[in-house]
Amino acid sequence: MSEAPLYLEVITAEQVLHAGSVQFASAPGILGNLSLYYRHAPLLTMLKPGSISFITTDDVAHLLFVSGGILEVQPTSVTILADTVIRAEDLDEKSALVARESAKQQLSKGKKDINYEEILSELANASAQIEIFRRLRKLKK
Amino acid sequence: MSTTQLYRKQIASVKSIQTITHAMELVAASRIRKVQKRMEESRPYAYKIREVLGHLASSQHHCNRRALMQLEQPKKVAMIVVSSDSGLCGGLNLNLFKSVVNQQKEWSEQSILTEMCLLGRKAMSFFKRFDTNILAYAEKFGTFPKVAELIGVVKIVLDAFDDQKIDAIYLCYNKFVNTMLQAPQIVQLLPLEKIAPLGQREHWDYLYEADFDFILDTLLTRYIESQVYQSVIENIACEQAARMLAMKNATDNTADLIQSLQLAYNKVRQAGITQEISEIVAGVEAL
Repeated sequence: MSEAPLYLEVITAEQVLHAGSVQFASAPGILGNLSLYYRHAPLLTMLKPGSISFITTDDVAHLLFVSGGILEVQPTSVTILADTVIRAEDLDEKSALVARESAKQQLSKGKKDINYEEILSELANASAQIEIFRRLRKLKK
Repeated sequence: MSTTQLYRKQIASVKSIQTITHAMELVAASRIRKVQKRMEESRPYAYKIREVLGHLASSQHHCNRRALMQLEQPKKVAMIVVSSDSGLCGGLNLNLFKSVVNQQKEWSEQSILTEMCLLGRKAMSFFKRFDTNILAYAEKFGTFPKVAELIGVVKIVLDAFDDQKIDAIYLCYNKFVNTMLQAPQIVQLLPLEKIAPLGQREHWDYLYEADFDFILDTLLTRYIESQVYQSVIENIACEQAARMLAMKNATDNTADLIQSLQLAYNKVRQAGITQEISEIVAGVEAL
């Protein structure tokens, strides 16, 4: 365990998903995954679709899906202002797989009247969710 | 028409008003719980984003973005005034408008001009009577507004700020304290007020992944959106609470009114009967 706990808050416009001390947290920064410990340098970045994971001070690991948002890091605290967050156990793998396939299909068809940005973000969301399931299975093994 | 009939008609009409006010009270009471829940859910986000931007404003980043610079003497400020769409909610809107007008007067003494950005029909019908510049206007949010409905107004105000047409943005709304108490608030949105982060050295700056301007722009838009959204939601909660109270008072008043009308009616009716009897008696005596 590191020397002192980090205070982590995961907040969306609808709810507070976590507010409490953690030993360690990781979040998908726009330029790559970030691992955050106590006394991290202050940092401000956007988030991309991916997974947030953290281990609370009582040694419980949490895994969340995040669709995007803002991450603020202060030496003693981390704040994640997320657009959408879903707990890994509430995710539905089948619908994620379906969403990924349909997004891929739409992209490969290359129709003119489709909204590329929207489909790309759907694809990114679905892929991130599927990645979370892969990690969950790995943890169980 | 005889007096008794007149009274009976009056009593009937007051009774139907009572039914309406009572129904409105119940509707407001059932809505308030849902709105209050919604308001409390989105409060943490609104507070936190304000805090993060406050931290950002207190950092030592050297840039010439207007959002981060406090002006000593602003020339023109914008006020976003949040009001309700419908009336019958007591003095809620008027209390807010009063504090807005007072603030306006104070600024105009320092020769600061104000522009108005109005949300809700009541604000429009109030401020169009005065000589005010109206920058933007939106109405009809219903009980559960969506962030998307506010984006247009937010964009107009932010663009005006970026184009240096205005130097500061203030948000005026009713803060929901509890069901009995709503407090008019005037808060500065831009330029950002500094909030020093806990346990941080005096001179520090963030590491910015990606471009600073990109992050700041995104943050600012989300910040204004969330603040305006939060204030609209709070104002709706206030509106329902104020309406519940106003309608409860109205219902109580109609009960008093009915009682006194009933008393007057009884008196007139009794007087009529007495008169008729004495007429009959007089007639009998004459025989």
